[in-house]
Amino acid sequence: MKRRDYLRLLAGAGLVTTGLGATTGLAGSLFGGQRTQAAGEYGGPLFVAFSATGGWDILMHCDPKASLSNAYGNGGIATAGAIKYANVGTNADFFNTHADRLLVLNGVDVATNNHAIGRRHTFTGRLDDTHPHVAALVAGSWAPQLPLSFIGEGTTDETRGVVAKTRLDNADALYDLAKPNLVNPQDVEDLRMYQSETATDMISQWRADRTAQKRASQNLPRLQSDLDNIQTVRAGANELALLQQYLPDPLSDNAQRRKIQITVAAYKAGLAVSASFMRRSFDTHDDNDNQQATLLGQLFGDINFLWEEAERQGVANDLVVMVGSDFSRTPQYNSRNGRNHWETTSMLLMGQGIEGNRVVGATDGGLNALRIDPNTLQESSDGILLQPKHVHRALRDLLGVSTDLDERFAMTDEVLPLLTG
Amino acid sequence: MKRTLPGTLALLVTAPVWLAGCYNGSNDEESPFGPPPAGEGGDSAADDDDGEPAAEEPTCVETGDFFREQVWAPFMSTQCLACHNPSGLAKHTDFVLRASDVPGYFEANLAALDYVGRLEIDGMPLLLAKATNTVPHGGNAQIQEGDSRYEALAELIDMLGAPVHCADDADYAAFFEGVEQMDLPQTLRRAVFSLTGRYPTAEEAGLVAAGGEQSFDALLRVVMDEPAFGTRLMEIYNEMLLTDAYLPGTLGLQLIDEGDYPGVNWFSNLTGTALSTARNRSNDAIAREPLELIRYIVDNHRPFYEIITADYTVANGYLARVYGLPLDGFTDPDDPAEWHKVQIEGIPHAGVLTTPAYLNRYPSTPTNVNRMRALVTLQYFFATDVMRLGARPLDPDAGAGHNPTMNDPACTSCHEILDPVAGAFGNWDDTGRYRPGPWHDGMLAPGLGQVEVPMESDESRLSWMAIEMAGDSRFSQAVVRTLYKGLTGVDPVDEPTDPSAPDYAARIRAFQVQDYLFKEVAQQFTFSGYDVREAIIALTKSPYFRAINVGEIDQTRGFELADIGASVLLSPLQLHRKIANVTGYAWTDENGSLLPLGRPYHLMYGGMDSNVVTEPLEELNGVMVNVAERMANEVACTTTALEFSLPPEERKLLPYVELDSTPGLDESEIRDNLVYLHERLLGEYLGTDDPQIDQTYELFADLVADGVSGIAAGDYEATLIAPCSVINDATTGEPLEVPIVDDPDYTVRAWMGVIAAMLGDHGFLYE
Repeated sequence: MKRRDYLRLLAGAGLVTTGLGATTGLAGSLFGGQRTQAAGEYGGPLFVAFSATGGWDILMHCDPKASLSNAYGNGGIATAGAIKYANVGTNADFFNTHADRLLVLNGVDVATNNHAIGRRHTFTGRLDDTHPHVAALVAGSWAPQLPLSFIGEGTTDETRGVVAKTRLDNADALYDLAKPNLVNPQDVEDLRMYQSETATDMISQWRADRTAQKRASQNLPRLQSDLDNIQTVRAGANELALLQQYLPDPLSDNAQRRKIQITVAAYKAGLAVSASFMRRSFDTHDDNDNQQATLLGQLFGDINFLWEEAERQGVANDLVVMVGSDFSRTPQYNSRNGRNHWETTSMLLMGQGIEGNRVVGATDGGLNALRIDPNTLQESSDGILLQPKHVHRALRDLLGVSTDLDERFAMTDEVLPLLTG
Repeated sequence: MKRTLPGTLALLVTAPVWLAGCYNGSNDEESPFGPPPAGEGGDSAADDDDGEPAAEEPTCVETGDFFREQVWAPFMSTQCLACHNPSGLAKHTDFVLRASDVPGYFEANLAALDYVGRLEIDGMPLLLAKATNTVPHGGNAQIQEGDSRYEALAELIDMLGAPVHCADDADYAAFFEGVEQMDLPQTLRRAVFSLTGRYPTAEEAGLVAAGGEQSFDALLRVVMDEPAFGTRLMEIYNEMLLTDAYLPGTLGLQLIDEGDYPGVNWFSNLTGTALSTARNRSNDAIAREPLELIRYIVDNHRPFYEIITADYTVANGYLARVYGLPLDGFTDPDDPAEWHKVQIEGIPHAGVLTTPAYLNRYPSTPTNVNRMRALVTLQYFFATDVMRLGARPLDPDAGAGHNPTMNDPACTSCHEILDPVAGAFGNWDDTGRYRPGPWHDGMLAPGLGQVEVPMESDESRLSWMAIEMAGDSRFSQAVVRTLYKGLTGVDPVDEPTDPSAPDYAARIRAFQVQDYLFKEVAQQFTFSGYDVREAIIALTKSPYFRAINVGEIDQTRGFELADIGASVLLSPLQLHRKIANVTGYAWTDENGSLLPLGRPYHLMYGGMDSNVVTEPLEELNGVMVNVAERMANEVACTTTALEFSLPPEERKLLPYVELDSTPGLDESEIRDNLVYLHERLLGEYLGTDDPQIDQTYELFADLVADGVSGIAAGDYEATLIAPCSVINDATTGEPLEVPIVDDPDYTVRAWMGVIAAMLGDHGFLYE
């Protein structure tokens, strides 16, 4: 099905919201509201992507095959709702908790066994080095001016100039930065300022005027982009203080969970749109099963924690989660009980606008991708291979990627009804 | 001979023509570098005398361009290369092509075509006969007579008989027509700061202003003998090597095998501060060994290829103890900055490649078998990005078969390059210990490319390979690419691979121009005896370092110039140095500077730890803007009153004004100081009546007016807050006779505002 036809169908089914005009966002988005210019008022999706960096083993979770794995032991292959999974490690907790919201895409062909390129293909939808990470694209579409619009903690976080990437490192430092004009922001009773509020406004205006003047006479694209960016990020920088009222106290001792807490709080405060996280060390050429079980436990633990935190902050209904990896691992073990690189992999999607408790796509007994009918999504020998571009097409439509960015970073026009069946 | 092309082809080449006649590397042409910057006599050829754009001239197409755009990109790079590659089914034929990821592929493929293109069978070019299967062809018919590919190939064969060089077309410089570039004094300012973290003195600037390019070159050579240059070069190389990952804690010490080096924990009998100092410095020395070796080579004017070929390493007193080396050559073995050339007995050194930090930063495993080491070594020191070969989609229906890395074409395209180099690392085990022994039978023999390591060099394979690498032009190109990224903050342009993309023609031109520059600079570097300073000088004079603007351009021109522009967001370390240099004081808290690694703002301001965070942020984000805002406020606070406590000749920011200099009465002095600040903090050279100075004067005057009225109304204090006041002499620490605490005219705070405004401005945060 072509995208324009899909959108027409969506419109007919009443799934197209009217909040996003064709000039601002793709009409398929389920997220309402206009693009906002003000920090604190953002109300679009919270999109979070997780990368199992190094190449996860899909036999160890969402595409189990007893004939190919020695790992299952007594747990065997279990089922959560309509989803089969390898019952190893902490998988049961993850799949049973999330089956209703979980869409498993199996038999995804990333067409490479090269780490960086596979990761890029998974998270940008393109094999070549041209497109931004989908989380950057979403942030750039909705609110690039927010101070924490795109929190990039991954390794394939190319932004291609659509939004500035932010790192989270030191929550204490964020307190100081939230009020850069206060001498001692940690002491609520110390109200001394370096500059008066009037002076601060004058200084800001002087800088803004200079930047605008430089921008008006600048024609080199790279320098234009720098000046545009600094204008954009200055616009929302003053609102970083809004974060403070939503940060948990105390924050988790676990660095990854702390970042997740800050991300959710930042979204709640209207300061963030999307984030990209990763877990490393999935490149298990040795001792595959034990290592993968441990690493998947950590990865799924992060995702569990994200959902818990989103629910605690009351934003779970706005959350969309994507989980992917560089590629998967070979159906055969190597001589060191490891597995090498394999281009057929899986992706996991969860959240608002995604019909869960489903598996789309499949692999054969040798872990080769099976072709599917693009309309029914059922196996079909004369169908198509499911590729990252199809997933990205669907995600862009769901997440309201703006029309101009969608055209600037072109994706396939071939729409598969992946998210809603 | 000129050739014009009709129809769709012409569309590909109607943008400003460049390169023609100068892309063959001939030495008898004028240097294409450094078109005169605006204001130095350069006229734009884009305009006629009447001011109207020049009429489009008939298009000349270089044979090489025709090959690249009409043959290679549309079909030869896929259909033909699939078999006609060094490991493909047609590897034993006379027609073997190289993938575009391999440096030099273009020239090699043109040469292969030139040879095969001359062959005929029954009056028909053999290439056409084979491609159409008119004569038996292992790959059957790939093209049909009459289709566009056939026509293009036939045209190319015809052109190869009499190669087209569009000698009277515009050359390389035309690519940069209309691009405004810094003049030499501005270029000097940027270059000296980029290389040393300081700005040129007035005397240095004067020398260059008077002496022109020759003085510029000479001065930069002197500047690059300063210790700060070595530090900067280490930073540039660490962004690539990432060996600083081992600086924290004892991560470096953990790389050293106690069996090989029993002295690794030589400090264990010490106690207290002596123990922690010795342990920390030993750890840092291990981590810094590869970067210090690079510094040593440059400081001592040794040929730069020794960074991979040196049959020695370097050690300070701490590393010497770790390695069990004698200390008698050290003036002060406890000085961590005193590094000497050393050799470790029994170790066949190969520059940075055999340092524990490098070998462990890119570790191996029994299944990886040194391929990671090979991958990065080829990328860092041989301008060969094997990863790009993997960007081609694998055929999902193709089977892998037995030992696919040697037999499956989908794998061999990378592994035929990778595995010989992996074998060259074969005498070094997974944890970086020297353990000579036989290499794996199931992999290609150790070597470089098609050349195998000779038996007599087997125990020093890596040294042999490094020498082979260093003798190849690709080593020089790799150095130039690294320096380019370090100087401009921009990644080198990759050759675009999708000829159907609307911006393909523009982007390929951008690639070709830059490729041309890199090869020229690499050649200068080689001819200079591998003097890295000469490569840097050439790069700083190129438009990539100097471009600051261009006239109105269309979208195609925008694609061509996408990566041009002299603007780099300062790294945290560069910002730290700049603040200290221009104000005289670092941005600190009670624990020291706030921006270096390990301090609160280093990672938040886009820095790396070389371990988890391995790429710097290259654009400001909302958090970084606030870091800059706090920096601007705090630095302005601590420096402004301090400035007024010094005699004018010792001041770095406010030499022309006093506490009682007020708008109106002292406008001239204030404007003089604003001109000075614009130059010192923002690198802007303005007159006192420049509109920008008017704007800043207005800011100062408004700040004073608001302050005075605020004090009168009781809204503001008439005194400075404690952190911004000065009661002790900055040099002696003795109490000042007249402490600067009161600010009844609001001038101190107004200057604080002006300085803070500039410190947080784009012009200060970017260079």
